[in-house]
Amino acid sequence: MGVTADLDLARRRADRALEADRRLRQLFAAASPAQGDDPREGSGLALVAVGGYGRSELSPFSDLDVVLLHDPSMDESVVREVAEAIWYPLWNDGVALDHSVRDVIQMRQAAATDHRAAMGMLDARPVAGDSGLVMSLRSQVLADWRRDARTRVEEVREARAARIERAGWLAHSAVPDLKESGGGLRDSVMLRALVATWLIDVPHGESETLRSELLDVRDALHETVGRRTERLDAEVIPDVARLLGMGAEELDLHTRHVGRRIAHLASLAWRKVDDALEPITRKGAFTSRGPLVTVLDDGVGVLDREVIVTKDADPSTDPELALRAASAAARAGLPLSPGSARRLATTMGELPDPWSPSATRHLVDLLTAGPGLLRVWDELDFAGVVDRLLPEWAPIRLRGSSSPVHRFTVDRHSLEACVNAAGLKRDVARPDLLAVAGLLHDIGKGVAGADHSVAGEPMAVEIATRWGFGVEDAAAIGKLVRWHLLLPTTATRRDIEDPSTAANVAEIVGTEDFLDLLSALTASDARATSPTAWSGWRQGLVEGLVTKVREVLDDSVPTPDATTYEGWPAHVPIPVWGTTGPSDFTLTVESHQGGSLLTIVTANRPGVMADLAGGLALAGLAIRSARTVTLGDAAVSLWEVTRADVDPARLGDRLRPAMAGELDLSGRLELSSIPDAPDARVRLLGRVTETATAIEVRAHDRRGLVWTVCDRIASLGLSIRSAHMSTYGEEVRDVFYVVDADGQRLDDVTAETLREGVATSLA
Amino acid sequence: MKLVTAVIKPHKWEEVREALAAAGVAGMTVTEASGYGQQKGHTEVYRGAEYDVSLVPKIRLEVVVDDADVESVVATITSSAQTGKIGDGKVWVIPVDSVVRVRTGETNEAAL
Repeated sequence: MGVTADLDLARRRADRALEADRRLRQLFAAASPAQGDDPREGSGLALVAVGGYGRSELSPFSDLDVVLLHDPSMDESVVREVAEAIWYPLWNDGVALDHSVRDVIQMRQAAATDHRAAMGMLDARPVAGDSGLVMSLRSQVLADWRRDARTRVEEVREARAARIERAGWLAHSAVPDLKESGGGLRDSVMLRALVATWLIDVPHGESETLRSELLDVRDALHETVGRRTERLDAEVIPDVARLLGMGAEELDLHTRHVGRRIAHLASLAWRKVDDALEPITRKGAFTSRGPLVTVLDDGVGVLDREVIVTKDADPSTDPELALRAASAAARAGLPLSPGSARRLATTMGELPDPWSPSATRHLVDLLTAGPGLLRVWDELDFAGVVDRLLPEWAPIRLRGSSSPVHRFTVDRHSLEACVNAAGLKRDVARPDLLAVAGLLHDIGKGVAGADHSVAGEPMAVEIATRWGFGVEDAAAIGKLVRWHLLLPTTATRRDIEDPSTAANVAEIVGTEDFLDLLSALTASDARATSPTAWSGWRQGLVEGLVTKVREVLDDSVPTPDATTYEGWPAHVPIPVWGTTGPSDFTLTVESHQGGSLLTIVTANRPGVMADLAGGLALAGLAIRSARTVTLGDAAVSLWEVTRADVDPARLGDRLRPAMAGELDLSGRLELSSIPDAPDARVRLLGRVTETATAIEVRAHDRRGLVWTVCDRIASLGLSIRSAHMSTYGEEVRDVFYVVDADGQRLDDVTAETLREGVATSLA
Repeated sequence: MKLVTAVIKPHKWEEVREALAAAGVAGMTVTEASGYGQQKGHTEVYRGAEYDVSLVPKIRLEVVVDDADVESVVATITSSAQTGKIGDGKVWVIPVDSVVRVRTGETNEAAL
């Protein structure tokens, strides 16, 4: 894969550097003092290109990294004059200049104390003036770098770890940073610096080619966006791809493949660095027949802190060897040797269909190994072994998620879920089923246009059967895949206090053991998605639902009558209410699951929920859920909001005018139109409860949305019993449980009128 | 009415204040600020790490003036704050809807 030939972006980068050289030489010649026949040679003054400019890799909006280098004996006022004569014209031309002025001693000192300056100088290139001065400096900096390699590489390693902690991995991040991510441009330059230490070597040709391919993508990104940026956002990918003569998906995969390979080279380089720095006395022992391998399993050993396939092992006749080696490496927390992985991929025989029990056991050992799984699976995937074990992995490899909530690509997310599941293996009766379901729960995302849970079930059953699981176990894995979103979806979008909710889930789940598996899979999946996907609030809701479902399944608690449920949790006391006016209210605030719980008692009148929703919106509070019950003349409502530090007095002041009808809520909360946002979707949910009609709204999140829906419901003479809000990126999914004036489910005609009315309000 | 905002070098503040006083501008709001521009906070002959951007101390002054006086006030600030070196700063102008003098309740032009 590569850029169309006629673009030749590498040549354009070099041409930009040449043009910059020409301009700098002009300015230097005009500014620098002339000496003898050739004013530039031997002047003790030079302009030096460093960093990317030094490598002649100038992207459309790159900075020019330039140093005005001088001999220490040179008069500082002369140096200052030359500097001003060069920098000011460039600034006036709007050139993005990253400049400094130093003598050779100061350059070496800067390089000695700042590894970034040192790495920039490793690519130092004379542009104008005394090239002898530059080459001499470069030699000295390089010699210093090599002499102090042991400490310098540790600085580089630490900085890299911090950078990747911030920016993630290019191959797997939802929005990759082409420069800062692990596997990005900085990693590629880091490889050059590691090679320059003479501690190690890396495949030069491949490394330089990969950087050039990544620079091509960055150049196209700069051209597309018209400014300097390193983040390849989904919305710019189609235009960037068009510039490169690729399809959008092709570009996304290509970029991630390049990033993955650079990250892999970097990982191998660091292992070689560690090996080079290891004291000779601690290295593995040698015998007269070669290095001593520590045996871990049949055909599997450890050599130089890597797990290898021993030379007497034969993958062609022992296809389970790949699984043994991988599980041994993952459980020991060691990497799998790339050479062994390649050998397995090219020579391993076919595993029987179905697998033998021992093969299944080794697979389970691998998947339940915890964090050690990640780099072992990566090595297997790189070599091509994963394609032999799980051909269905290919469509989800490096595939971005369609949901903005996800921080990883689908493959990485699945592995992270598997790692998380390993931490929960004691919470379930069958950790093997949990581990496999963790790996396969999103396997259906490789099927275009399908609900991935539905598409994933038969795939998971087929895979599990092939992997040697019995009929029942394979069906259980398939069922886990099919229903892996049941708990979080229900908990956040249904009234979990309504007995119908738990009953519906219990009917699907069937047994407590399956409930345990589903609950553990939910937690593993959510933690692998993003921090907000498993916030204290969400976790509380899911665990609350699980408790209620368990009560239904084990009959330990008498199930409330679903036909008489009025929307108020039995365990929540209803505040005492006295006589009051239509706009009066009492408000109490308590801390609740990372946000706040507001208990508001008002007069029971039409539209009170809408007025409260409007008041809360104007107070800037995002609503997670709401429910209300009427007691004669009073209405009591519970509101869960996201903000933790709500001041009751201040909030009361904000709600008072809304409750008194003094605010033009329709004017102040008029929905803004969002360009290019799809229309809101409003639908009636099936019979999810016996005692109310549930209506679901899916729309672009905007201030005033909840008020708009509440207001429309009130205008039809209907009441809201409870409302449950979920936000995913810019998308909201809100469910309202609505009753008529008699507190009953709506008839079909009224329900449809409601649906149309809400949809019209949101149009 | 317009709000004229200027970010200038601290050592030019007295000169600017005197020039504005001579031009009839009696009051203004002055705050200590920090910032950088195209030169990333570096001085002309710079001897630091080239990868860092430095924040440089500045003075920010704001004055609300009548529309008719905007041009002369901007010119006064520009000429008195200028050194010709990097870091001289910027001046910008934005419209003001209304102004109230707190002590007397006078509004708009009467409050200037």
